[in-house]
Amino acid sequence: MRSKKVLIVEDEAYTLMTLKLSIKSLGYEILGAVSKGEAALELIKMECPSLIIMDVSLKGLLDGIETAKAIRRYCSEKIIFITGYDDEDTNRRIAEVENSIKLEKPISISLLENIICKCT
Amino acid sequence: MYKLFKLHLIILILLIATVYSNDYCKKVIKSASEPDYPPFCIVDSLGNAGGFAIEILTATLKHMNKEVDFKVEPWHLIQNELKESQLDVLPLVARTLERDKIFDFTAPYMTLHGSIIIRNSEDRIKNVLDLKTKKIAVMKNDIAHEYILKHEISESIELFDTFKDALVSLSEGRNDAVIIQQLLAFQLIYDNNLYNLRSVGPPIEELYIDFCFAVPEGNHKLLSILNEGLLAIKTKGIYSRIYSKWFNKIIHDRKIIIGGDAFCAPFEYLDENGVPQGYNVDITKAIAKATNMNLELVLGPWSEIRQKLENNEIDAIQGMFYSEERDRIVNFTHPHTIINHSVYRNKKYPKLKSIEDLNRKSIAVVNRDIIHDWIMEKKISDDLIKAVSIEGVLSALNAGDAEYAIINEKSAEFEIKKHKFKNVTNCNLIVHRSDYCYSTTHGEELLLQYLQLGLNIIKNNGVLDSIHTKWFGKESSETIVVWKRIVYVLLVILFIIFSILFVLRSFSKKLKKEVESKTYDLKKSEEKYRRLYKEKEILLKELYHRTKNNMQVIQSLLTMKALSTNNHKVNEMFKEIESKISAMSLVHQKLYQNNSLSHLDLVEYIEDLIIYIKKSYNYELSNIKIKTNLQSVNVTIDTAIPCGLIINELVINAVKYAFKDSEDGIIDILLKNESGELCLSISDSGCGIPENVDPRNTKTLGLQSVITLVEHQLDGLFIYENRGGSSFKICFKETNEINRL
Repeated sequence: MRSKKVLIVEDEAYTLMTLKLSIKSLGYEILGAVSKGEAALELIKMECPSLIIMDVSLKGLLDGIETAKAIRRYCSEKIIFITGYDDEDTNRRIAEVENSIKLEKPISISLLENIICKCT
Repeated sequence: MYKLFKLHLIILILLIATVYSNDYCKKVIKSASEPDYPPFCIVDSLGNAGGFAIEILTATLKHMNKEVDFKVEPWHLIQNELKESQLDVLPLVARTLERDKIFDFTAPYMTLHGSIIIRNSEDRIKNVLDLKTKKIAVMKNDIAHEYILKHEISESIELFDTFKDALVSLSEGRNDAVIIQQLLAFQLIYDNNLYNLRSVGPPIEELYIDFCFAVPEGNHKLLSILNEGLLAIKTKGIYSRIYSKWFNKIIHDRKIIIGGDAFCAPFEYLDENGVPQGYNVDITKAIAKATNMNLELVLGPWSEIRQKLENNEIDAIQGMFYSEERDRIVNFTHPHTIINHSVYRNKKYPKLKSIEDLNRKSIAVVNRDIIHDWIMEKKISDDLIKAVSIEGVLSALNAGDAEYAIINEKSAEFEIKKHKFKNVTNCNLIVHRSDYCYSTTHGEELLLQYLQLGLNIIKNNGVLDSIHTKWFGKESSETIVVWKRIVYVLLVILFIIFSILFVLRSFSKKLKKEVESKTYDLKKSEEKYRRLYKEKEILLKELYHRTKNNMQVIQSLLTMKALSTNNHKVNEMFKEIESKISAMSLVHQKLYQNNSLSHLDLVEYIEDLIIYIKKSYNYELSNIKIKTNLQSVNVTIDTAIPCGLIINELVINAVKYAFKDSEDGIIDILLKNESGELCLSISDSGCGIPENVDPRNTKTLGLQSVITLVEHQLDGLFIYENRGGSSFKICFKETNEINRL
């Protein structure tokens, strides 16, 4: 069986490292771990992952939701948004992205693992 | 010797004879008089020359120590004799351009105007234009004769030797008119009882006569003697005495009664004591003084005064407006003043723009006033309200009994001011400009001439101007009219300018209000944002503070947990985590302590962090030295936290693994700011990473986290070198993405 690949888009170093370690421990392959939306799109154009974990607040020109909407042109796989924002505008914008869910920071690694398992 | 003496004697006799034969040195001056030019030149009962001009010349020469001898001959003969130097001087010659070519003249000693004399029954002749087809009698070669020829007054001229003959001829109906100097005419009429004659029309201005002494051309010596003598007798009063003798003799015993309107202020009125006052009264007094006439003033209602003149109860009227109609009944002097008659209205009635608008309106006028005559003549309106005085006219107008009134402006303004007629206003429509004159009845022509002479005197010596200034200020009525127009135009221009300014001012006011309102809104808004900013600043400070506190709580919890175990490895793990939390907490502390909530001084932060690490690991007592060489730079929290974590990780790594226990070691921390690119270098003098180990692929989380922080979070470059110890170089750009805060 071909291993499932996960793309992590996160600009905070320790969170990124934690996510990488957790996902690796679940047996997934990390397609990429990037801190900018633009870098994520470059990767997606080459290969579509099985799951995308996306921070809403990113460095660069695109935020996580804008990056996700751009990704939808190439890939329809599940996107898990992780964010500290819980305002109406953010929730509405996330709801516009098909096949996506939102997890609020701080995230419990065990909860994330469960969701990843369900999604894949 | 004898011959020489004889020659000298002959020369001396000849010289004396020459001197004595010279005209201007003659002791007796030869002169001549015409026989009948009263009162200038007359012949007395003994056949001697007499009269005003004869006496003036005699007195002039006498004053210059000269004698004069007169012979009597007709004018045309003596004129030729002077021309041919058979005579030395003539006493009475009217100066003309033609005569200037053949005679030399002294300064004039009297100026007279010409006049037309007609029979009382004649009513077709009113002025010189009517003489074109008439037969005119005149004295041969007189100035009047020259005037008739020059201006082609008439083709039918009968010449006489004297003016007396000419006037007699007119009186007897053989001629239609005589052109003559007025004063001479009146004297001849009086002397010869020619009372069926009268003067008509205004004085002929072109026929003014300057009477002078004349000498043959070139006799400058005698001319200067005469001029000097004339000036002397004028200044010494001799001239005045001779003048009074000849010109006052007819009326000097008589009391002359001058009439005037008692209700025509400020021209003539009775004051509270019943004493005549006013402009005309002052003029009459000045004339009386100038001519030595015995004048008495009688003022009364205008129509009454006019009636008195017609009844010969008074001799003259001092203020009467000239009209052709009136000229048939009375004689006029030259006007001494020009008066405007204007339309006044009751404020209930509209302002009039032209004389035609007066049609069928009720108009108040002074009974038998010039305007009364004028309205009747022009048939302007039938609805006339006649009052006895200007005050009466204005009262009627004020009460609304009349719609309009026509009266002289000066009196009207005087009465309106005096009686406060509130309902009356000036329409500023001048309908009549009238010549204000003295008038006498026919038969009183001589008196008229005296009045005219008096007027001329007070005009020339400035008394008339003084009286005008006294009553009306400095401007003459003409000037006032011009000034009024100028002022009116200026007012209109000013009105337009003020209107424009007013509009601009209103606009500017509106604009100013708008600007003020916008400025107020802006200020409000600025205040609001300032307040919000302040609130946010406070909130952010509070947030940094709480975050730092919370981190300290976490730190404390970890410390407690660490203390509860004796496991050295676990203790070390807790210590590492604590130091990482401290590195982050220090950033928050620096931020809320700082003036700027977005930036902090990286040098200050690194130095504080090193102090903390030293304290945590008690290395201030050990043999490891941490040296810093840092260039000042301000960074955001996004740069400060990763930097802090990187320094914390690498310094602790060096402290823990680079040196053997007893070995002296140096850790160098360098920070360079090269045009916005920051280079952080952390190197030690320790053993370094073994050469077979790739720092990027170590299994230790420490170096991995450093690389992740550099490459993912700072977007920087991570370089490792082993140069007799580990040397880490991290280069990155300060992002300044403060909006991510």
